[in-house]
Amino acid sequence: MNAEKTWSWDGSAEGLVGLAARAWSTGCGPEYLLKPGGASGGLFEDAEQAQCSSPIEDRPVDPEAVLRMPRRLRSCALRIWMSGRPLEKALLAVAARCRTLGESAFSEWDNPDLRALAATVRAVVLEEHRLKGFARFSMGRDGIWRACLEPDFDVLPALVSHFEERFGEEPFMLVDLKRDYCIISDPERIPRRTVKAVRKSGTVGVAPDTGMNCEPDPGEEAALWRRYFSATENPARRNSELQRKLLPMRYRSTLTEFARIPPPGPPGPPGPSTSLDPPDSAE
Amino acid sequence: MITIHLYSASMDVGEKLDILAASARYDASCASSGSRRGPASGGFGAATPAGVCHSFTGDGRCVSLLKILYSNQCRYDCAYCANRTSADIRRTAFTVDEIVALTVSFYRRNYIEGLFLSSGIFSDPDIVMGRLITVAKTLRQREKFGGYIHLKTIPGCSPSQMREAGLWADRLSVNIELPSVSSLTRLAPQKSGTEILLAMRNMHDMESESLRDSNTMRSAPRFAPAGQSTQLVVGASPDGDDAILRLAGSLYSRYGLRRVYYSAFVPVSSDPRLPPSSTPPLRREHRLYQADWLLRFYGFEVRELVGEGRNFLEGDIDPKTAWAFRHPDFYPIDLRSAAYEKILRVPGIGVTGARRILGARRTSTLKAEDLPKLGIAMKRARWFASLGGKPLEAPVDPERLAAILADPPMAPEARESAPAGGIPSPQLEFSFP
Repeated sequence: MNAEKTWSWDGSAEGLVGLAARAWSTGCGPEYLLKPGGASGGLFEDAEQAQCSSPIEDRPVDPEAVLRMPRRLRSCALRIWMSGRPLEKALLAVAARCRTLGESAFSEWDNPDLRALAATVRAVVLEEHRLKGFARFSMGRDGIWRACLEPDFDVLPALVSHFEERFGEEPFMLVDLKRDYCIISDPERIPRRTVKAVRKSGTVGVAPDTGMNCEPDPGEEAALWRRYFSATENPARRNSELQRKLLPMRYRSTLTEFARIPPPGPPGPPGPSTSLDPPDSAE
Repeated sequence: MITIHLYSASMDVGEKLDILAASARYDASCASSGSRRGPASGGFGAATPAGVCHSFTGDGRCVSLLKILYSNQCRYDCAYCANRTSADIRRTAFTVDEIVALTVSFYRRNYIEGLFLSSGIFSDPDIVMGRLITVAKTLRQREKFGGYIHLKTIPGCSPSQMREAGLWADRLSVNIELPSVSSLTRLAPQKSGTEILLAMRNMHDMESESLRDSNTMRSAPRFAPAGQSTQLVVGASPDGDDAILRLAGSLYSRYGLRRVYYSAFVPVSSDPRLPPSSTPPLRREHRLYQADWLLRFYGFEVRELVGEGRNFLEGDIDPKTAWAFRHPDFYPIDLRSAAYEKILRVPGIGVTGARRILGARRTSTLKAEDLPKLGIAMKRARWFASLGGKPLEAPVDPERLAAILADPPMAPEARESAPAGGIPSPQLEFSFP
């Protein structure tokens, strides 16, 4: 394989942004792109033919290019990474077009690469926007607000700054149940960290002893919210079809207002005593 | 003065919420857009310019704010209002601390973007407005809440109170409700159109003054950064769409309103002054929103949409297509060469589509197969557009085309009685202060 015509990518968001910056600064994409995990397969097994065949200088990512690249291109690269869809080749082709056309490259609607990117970016942005509203937080045993989400795309990194603004100096945690990881923001102790979530007997958390219940919030405020949600609807205007369109069923499992809270059952048998006090009577 | 606590003392917050949220649900606005603010030092909450929808109710409306009344006790007896003084309903009122606690706890759980607080006129306008201001002030000062606050302004309150409300709230609004003096006199005799318009003008003046101040001094406090809005009830009076749109157009141009909301009248009483309709005119409301959009973003004028003997917008086709039918000589528009403003007049092409056409024209010659890729609704556009002088579709009989382009009937749940076409619109109009 000709190393100069082959670019490799470690699978990270930063890596993809770096590649897009490189395609933009050189005006050309790679002939082959080694995708994440490509090195473990056969020599050409995971390499893909790219649009551009002109030779390029094989040089590391230029940090200045990342800073100077069009903002729209950087944002597009991040969304493509979040989507997990195999559109890296299309991204690099559009990035290379940006070199000569500038922002006008994003107006080339007859370009199939751009259309593929635009459709995906739209879907990711819509998911981000919806989850900014549909995330529901409740207080964990550790005193940290947390929201459990099941996003179609890996959008948690795009949501964190939005919730940092909302929470101010309060710590919070976003959990991706599909990808088993969470992002914790605790400005007082440590700005932001991403950790693998641990599942244990129906709870999910960063460690077994900080397990969080991702079931609907049974608290008093949640009950008040359900009452409000029910009272604010105007039955004379009911339009369930429109509601389904704007709030697809797949989001409802984590929404407090749609949660089916089981009625309180009869009190269970008393558990083992945890008191350290001595029994009242000597036995 | 009415002692509201007699009614509310025995109620818990949940019961009050049931009553005062249901009382506020006739207000169409629930927007949290138009303001940007980060959390205060040591506080929490932010406002984003685009706003966020946190849920959608069974009627498909966005839930963005905690929309409640402070009290549903009201001295006015407006025929169309669920909270009118003669209505036999349970009356109650929140306390300031109850509203503050609900807002904060709902906000932290990400149920809402903020608060939309209105109230029945249970006392002197200054007293009512004072309570609303106290809620907003407590949220901002004591709780250091940076989220969105929309306060309803009580017509007749003093300018100093209005000014203070605007300093704590992101948006202020005052509902004009009916588009003519005669309707207001008949259905809401205690309300004064002049007083409402004066309140709007005062808010506009304070907004402009604040904008001037902030241009000279960055730290100057902004008055209601998300501007002001209002609401018109559609179908409670015989006023036509022409009266409604003329008033809306004037409010946008004279007082710089950010939004005029149209709320289909939901029958709440059998008052003989009201029309005998049993369902809200949702299709008419929808057409008014479409027309409003054409006024604000498409360069249309009110007289192009209604007037000259037409008091109502067409029910079966959207206002832009209706205009196209009335102006066959204007079409077809050549998408390869026409100006942006002309492209916007093609049914099926919106603001985004028109911009994309201009962008695509810069880099290539536009072809018919490119148009769907640009997001153009070809079902409509192909009858009114051409490329290089060649129409996209051969002309057909206008009646047949009208049948092709007519909107399907509304969903059974939301079906309405046909708008009362042909009722002459009252000629009495507001004189703007």
